[in-house]
Amino acid sequence: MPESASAARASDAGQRAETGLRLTREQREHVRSEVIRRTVADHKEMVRKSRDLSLEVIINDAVYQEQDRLKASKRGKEDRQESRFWNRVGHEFHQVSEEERERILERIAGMYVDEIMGYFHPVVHKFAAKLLPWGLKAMLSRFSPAAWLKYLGARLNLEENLVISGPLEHIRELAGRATLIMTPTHVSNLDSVVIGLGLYQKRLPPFTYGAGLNLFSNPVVSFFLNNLGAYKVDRRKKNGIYKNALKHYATLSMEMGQHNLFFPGGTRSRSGEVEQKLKLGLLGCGVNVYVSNLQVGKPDADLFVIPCTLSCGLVLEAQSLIEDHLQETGKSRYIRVRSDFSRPMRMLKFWRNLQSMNSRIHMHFGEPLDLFGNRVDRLGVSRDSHGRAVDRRKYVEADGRPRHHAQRDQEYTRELGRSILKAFRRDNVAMSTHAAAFAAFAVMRARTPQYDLYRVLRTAGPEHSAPIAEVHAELSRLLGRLRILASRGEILLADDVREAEATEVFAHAMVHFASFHDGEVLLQGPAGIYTENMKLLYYYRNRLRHYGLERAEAAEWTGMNGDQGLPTQ
Amino acid sequence: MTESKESMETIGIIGGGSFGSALADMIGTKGHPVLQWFRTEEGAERFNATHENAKYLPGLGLSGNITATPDLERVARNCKLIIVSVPSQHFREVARRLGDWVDGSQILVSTTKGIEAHSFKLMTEVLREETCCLKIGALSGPNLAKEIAAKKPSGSVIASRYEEVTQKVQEALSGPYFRVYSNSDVYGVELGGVLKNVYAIATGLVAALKMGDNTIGMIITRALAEMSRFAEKMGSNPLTFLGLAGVGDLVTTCTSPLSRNYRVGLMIGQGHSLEAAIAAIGEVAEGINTIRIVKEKAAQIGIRMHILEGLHALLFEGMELPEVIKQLMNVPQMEDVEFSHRPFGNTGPA
Repeated sequence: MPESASAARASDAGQRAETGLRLTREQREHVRSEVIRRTVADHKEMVRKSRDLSLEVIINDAVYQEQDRLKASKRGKEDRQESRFWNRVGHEFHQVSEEERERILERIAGMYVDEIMGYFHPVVHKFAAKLLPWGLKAMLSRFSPAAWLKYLGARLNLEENLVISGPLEHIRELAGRATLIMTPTHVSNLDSVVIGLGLYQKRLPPFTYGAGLNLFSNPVVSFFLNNLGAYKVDRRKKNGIYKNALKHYATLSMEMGQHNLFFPGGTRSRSGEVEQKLKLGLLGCGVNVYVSNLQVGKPDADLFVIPCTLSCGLVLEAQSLIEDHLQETGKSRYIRVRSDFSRPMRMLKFWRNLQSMNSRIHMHFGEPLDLFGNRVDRLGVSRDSHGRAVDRRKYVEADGRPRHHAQRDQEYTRELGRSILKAFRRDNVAMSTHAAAFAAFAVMRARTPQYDLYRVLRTAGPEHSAPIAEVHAELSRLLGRLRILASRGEILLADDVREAEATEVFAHAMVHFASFHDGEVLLQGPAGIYTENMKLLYYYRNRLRHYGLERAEAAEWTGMNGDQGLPTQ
Repeated sequence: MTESKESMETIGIIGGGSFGSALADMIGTKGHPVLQWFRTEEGAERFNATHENAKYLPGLGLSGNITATPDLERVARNCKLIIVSVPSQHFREVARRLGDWVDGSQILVSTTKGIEAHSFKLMTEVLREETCCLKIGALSGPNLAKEIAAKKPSGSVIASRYEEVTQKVQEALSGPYFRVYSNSDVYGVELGGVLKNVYAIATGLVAALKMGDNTIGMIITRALAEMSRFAEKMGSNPLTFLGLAGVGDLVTTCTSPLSRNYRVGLMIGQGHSLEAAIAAIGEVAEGINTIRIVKEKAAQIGIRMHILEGLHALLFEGMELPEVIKQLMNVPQMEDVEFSHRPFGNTGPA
């Protein structure tokens, strides 16, 4: 296909999908009533199938959980409204008929879907406009998302700082013929913004996605989220009615052909590692939608998955993420620091760093997959491991017809999850900060073998210096291994580590760290290399975990696997 | 073809060995048409002419519902349930060829108890890699082919993450002399079938040395501890080893003279060399290869497997048997049941 023709088509596809993210009033009404109808139908079906369950129990559970949640919350205006709602429901639902309970369930689902769909909040946007540092104020109300993305992209010099790679043309072509589900790794709260910018820059269509409700509390980010087609997900709400409403919203969105984005890790990687496990709930809606599409004979029935691996040389919330991680592991006592993300000045600094090329973000799109984990070629044909064409309809047929089968489809989604995890591992970009942190941590760790990890993480300061030659030697070995892994297609390397000498890589990393984490991560003193923040060092080195690069596994590199000197996976 | 035969689904069997034929006969006897793939055209023709598997189950007339074919495409096109029963060393190649014809709608079940040396892959993993099929399962248990062919009562486990697979296999296989239980821990069930061969060699040795029933009891029980310890580390549920694919298969293999691995152990215990024992058995004794492969893996993941290590020393490192026994009897004595006081891991590798 000539370049211009394919670009025109891609642009068309983008245009169609973009207008699709902004629902008309009728579409919104349709989505709202369908979410309510399906949520209620689901619960009635659960009641029908179960001996112990009733609508009363389901509503009671929701009331209890929501009141409990609200008791612990900050009691803002919205919380007070919600409290009143739940108190009212709490008084009503016991002494009424089953039909009445169904109406109450409809009201609950209705409230949830209203929250999920969100709305353009003028006050929030006015506030956001005040905070935005790049004079975007005037654009907010007058320009389309595309216009301000373009503006922002130009300001940030994205060609330099956001490095986007992967089969972009392939993805553009598929976007024109199928609904796409993008599944990125999750590093930072800024990921959605970065992805939005990247998609725009590469003329890929925009995606709708569920963003954590807490993100909307940051006015700047909230502005981006709303304009990037985000809907709201409140992770504090754990009750079945809410989860069902959310699931049905995502399902309907996909049925309408909106490209969807899910962070399959569920949350930002706390430890700094690439995702090792996925939450497949929302991803699982894909097979459901596919089967429904086939059943109604929809011409563009297909849904394809685009794994997307984000790798950041510096991470805005690194400190609070690793604190969270260590707290979760339950083996350490920490006083929680304030979330970095809630500090506008810190965020501003981060963006400025990005702008001035002190920090890079790599965004790698993986090979498109079908919902069963097979890769999909440019024509939309699924291919097995030997490149043979696969008729994916066969996976969901029973007696020659497409059929829903919850247990089977759940397993298919697990298969898909495995393929996504493989892509994340393969497409992770090792950067100088990761490699330098990995090597320095290994040397420092080895100097105190008697300490457990948690004690090591509390060591800091020049008295724990490691000889610089030793750190360089360790880094040199690591770079050698990384390059072998890269040659085997098991990891990607950023420009700054692809060919450079260890000393160069290390110096590069030190400058980067210093530009954002003031004199904390890697420092050089008379006695060698030391850190003032071992936890941050640990966080950045974790990006290279799970590749068999640890010292304890080093024997495998030179020993039993002989010729290549690498551990087998 | 009878009326009932037409209404019943055709089941595919890949492989003309003893177990494939025993299963084909069992399924055919229930009234299902069976399409059984043989590697060679001559083999298929010979079977169709005689309905006897002269090489592996001589003297047994097998069900008239079985049709042999050398055509994998025919099996893939006509069968929604295909049972793959070929030796592990040919498994990948046959799976790849089958992969040319299946379309993802078929259910594939492996009955092969083996492990790939270079990749440490189990047979369901090979099926997944070599075909586009996802609905995959493993059948494993105390299933000596000759006893099944002789219609002696026994049972097996069908392991799959897909309920559809376990249900279909239960329907197709269970009958008056065969029971099929289900488990979702595929990795654990397959691993049980692989590891028990190692310990059959050990009990064969013990029998040859006439050490006594106490010794056999101890070997089998400690073998179970080793197996489940290893499997748990690999992501399986150790409780799987309390089932037919674990203790059931282990006891059978470790005590039956019909077991090839047991016979290898017996011969070595009687003073024959490993090569001589293998030559005399004439069939593949999977346990020999498994010892080497698992020993390396266990070292990688930091699991001690004393009996297996002892066998490795005896067979491949030139250690004398009395020395092996002495070392085994001096292993530090741990808890009897290791999994009794702590929560279990997940059920299957991530």
